[in-house]
Amino acid sequence: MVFSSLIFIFAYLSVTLAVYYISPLKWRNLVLFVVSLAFYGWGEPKYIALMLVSILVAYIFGFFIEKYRETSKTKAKIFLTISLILNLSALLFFKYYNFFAVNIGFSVIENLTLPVGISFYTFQIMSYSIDLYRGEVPLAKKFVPFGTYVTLFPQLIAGPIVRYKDVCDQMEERKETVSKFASGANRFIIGLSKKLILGDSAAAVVEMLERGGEFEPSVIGSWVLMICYTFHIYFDFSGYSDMAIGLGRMFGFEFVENFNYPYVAKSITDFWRRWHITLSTWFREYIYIPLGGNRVGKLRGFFNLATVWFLTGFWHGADWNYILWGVYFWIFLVIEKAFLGKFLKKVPFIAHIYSLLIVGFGWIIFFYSDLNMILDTAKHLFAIDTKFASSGILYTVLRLLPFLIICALGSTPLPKKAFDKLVDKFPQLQNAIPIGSALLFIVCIAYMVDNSFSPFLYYIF
Amino acid sequence: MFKKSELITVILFCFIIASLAIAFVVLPDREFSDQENRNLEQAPELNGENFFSGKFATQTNVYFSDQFPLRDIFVKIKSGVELAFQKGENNGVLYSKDQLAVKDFNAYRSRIHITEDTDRIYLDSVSAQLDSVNKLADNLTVPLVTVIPPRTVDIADSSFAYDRPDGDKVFDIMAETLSEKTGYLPTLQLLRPIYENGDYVYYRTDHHWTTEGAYIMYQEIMKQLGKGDKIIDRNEFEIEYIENFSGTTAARANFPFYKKDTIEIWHLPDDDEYEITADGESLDGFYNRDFIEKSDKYSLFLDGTHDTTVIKKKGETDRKTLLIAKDSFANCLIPFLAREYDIVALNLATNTFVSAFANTYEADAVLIVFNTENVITTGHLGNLR
Repeated sequence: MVFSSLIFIFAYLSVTLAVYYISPLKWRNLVLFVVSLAFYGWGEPKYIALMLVSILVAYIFGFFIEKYRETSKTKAKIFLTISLILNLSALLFFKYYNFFAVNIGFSVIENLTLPVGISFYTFQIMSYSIDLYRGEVPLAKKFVPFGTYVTLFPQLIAGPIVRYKDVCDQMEERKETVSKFASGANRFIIGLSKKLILGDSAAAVVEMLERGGEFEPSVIGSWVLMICYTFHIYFDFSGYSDMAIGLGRMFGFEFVENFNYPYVAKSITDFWRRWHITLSTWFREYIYIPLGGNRVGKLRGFFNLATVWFLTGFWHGADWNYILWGVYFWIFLVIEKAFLGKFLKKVPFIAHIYSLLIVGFGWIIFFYSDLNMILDTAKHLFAIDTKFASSGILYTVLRLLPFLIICALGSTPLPKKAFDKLVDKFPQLQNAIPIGSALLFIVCIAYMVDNSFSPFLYYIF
Repeated sequence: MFKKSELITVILFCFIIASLAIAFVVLPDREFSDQENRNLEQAPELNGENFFSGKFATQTNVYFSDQFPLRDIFVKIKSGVELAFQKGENNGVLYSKDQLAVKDFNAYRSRIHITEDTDRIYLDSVSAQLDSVNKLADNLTVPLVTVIPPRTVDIADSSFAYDRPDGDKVFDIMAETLSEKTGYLPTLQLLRPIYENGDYVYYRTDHHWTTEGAYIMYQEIMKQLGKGDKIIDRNEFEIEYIENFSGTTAARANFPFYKKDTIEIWHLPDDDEYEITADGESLDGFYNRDFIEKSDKYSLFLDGTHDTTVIKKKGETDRKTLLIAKDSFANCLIPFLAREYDIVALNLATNTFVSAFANTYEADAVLIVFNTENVITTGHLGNLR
């Protein structure tokens, strides 16, 4: 089930909210656990058992890790390792088996579908086991709160990747308040609008241009495709995170932020501090720092960074283009570390354009699984053997211009800043927020009712 | 403590969700949407098989959006917002002040998703179909007239900023390929200038031509059949106006504001003197007035789509017979032709052995009316024998 569907909001969420708030406090985690399993089972009934086994493994091994943590580091480490291997093996098998099989020459397993959300919940479970071993979180003694932490439907299938240490207190004790619920509802509606009104429309343009470009490539067509895909992936994914955070607040949770206006970044290093923050944090905490981080020799430092970026790319999908995408960013991060970073600081405007171009072309690598298509698109973008405008493209660009401008403004903090300023000046505007938010909600419902095109991108990870 | 505005936000949010959820459960399901002119999805059946295959989830999604409370209003809100973005279209329908038109997907080359020369393949398919018409013309012993009505987007080109490079190419191919024996009438060249002149030859909200457009083509067909002197002058008709017609194109786009159409019925005093049978059942005249109250108003012409329609004039046995292989564009044209000919009208999609039928019905002439969209998308024309 995706959040941006009528069935989620009007069947699932309405019932869930009602049952949750009617239930006595001590049952609320159990309610969330059950409804989250139902949420998962709706779209993925086959793999619900797999997820429960993963949870159970981490839960049971947690007791062993806790038992030996103080007395025998080695034993604790062994139990941690077994727990991690068991958890990772599900991810490796379902996500990567066919990729390796194809590249090594084994026989491929047909109909091996990726369990929804496995990349996300596996990482969440691992964060618990590792942090427990490090003594940074208390042992999860009760099964239901721990199961609820992993399966919690707002963040189950597409993040943010919430670490156990960030929410373990909230699992046992949290406060649902009117203020939290209101800000959650507003956040949810903003996320919904980002996805439905901007993200999906941008995706429709991408699809149209992709097909048009296959027939008659052009410089303008390729640029608009790149720009629209850049907008699509941002509004889609950050919209989803907004919805997740908003839903969490409605149930009293505070999740960490996942995006911080990534397209205003002034370097690639900066971009990755603003994009999918919880994933970068996870890799830093559990891969990069354990490897020694940057407190090692220069060569080893580059190697550590390369490992992280290879894995980041590979995490996004079992295909060569995702690996290339990760390595692509590693190259720019290394260059920025070596010398470019200092220069970029002096020329903020150029730095911004540079970042957008690198990120935008990164999305082209992300978009095409066929490496030849990536090379072709590079040629089209830089007008090598490509005509400037194909037939019909100018009509498309002109008619989309207002939409693209709105997307561009929407990816910056400007709208929020402007609104905050207005509220500062005219405090009575506060009272208009409920009305505005309700109207926006109604527009979103309209988009869901008349919905012919709504893919959700991060759903496949 | 919380602010008043926060409490109102919570109340509004919960009210919207709860009221629509309850309305969804309580309100009875609709079978048919008048506004969109289509059947709506009904509640899917739950069983193990379709649940685990994910089919149940997919169908439930469609069921939810089709049966959602206030659906008609919501789809208008969506297309209104799309228009506010100045996109100029919604759901593949172009918008201008006076005209709606389904986008010509071939101009975007996006209909067929293949890497070869898409344009050539699509035009080759049209040429091949036209060759079948040529062969039919050679096999027939009686005169043939071929009318291929353009799409609205072709006729109303001037109403949109929409760029259609080589948009008329398919009509050039028709003119080049179809032999003289096919009696091809260049409908685009005849009707487009009249449209541009401001005359009402195609509906604004529907993909068909108007009765006016059909009358102009009736004149051309009569001339082509050598009956120019038998054309009934437009002054002899008494015109009845059916207001508030919102056709297929509008149904797809759901724009909140657009001018509705008026259907004209051109009456003659002898309207009642014809015997009309459609698929073996007798019709009560050329016009089924039951459809006037429905959304599907264009179906009032000859009771909509039928496989075989036979029209004779009561008490006259020496009239000549015109065999028409057609789609729905012919429905508003046939009442004109029936004043001169006995008519046998066959649905071209299912009756392609036209030369055999011409013998069976002892036709004195054959007319093909099959619109361009159907030529491009169905390939039925290529099955003509």
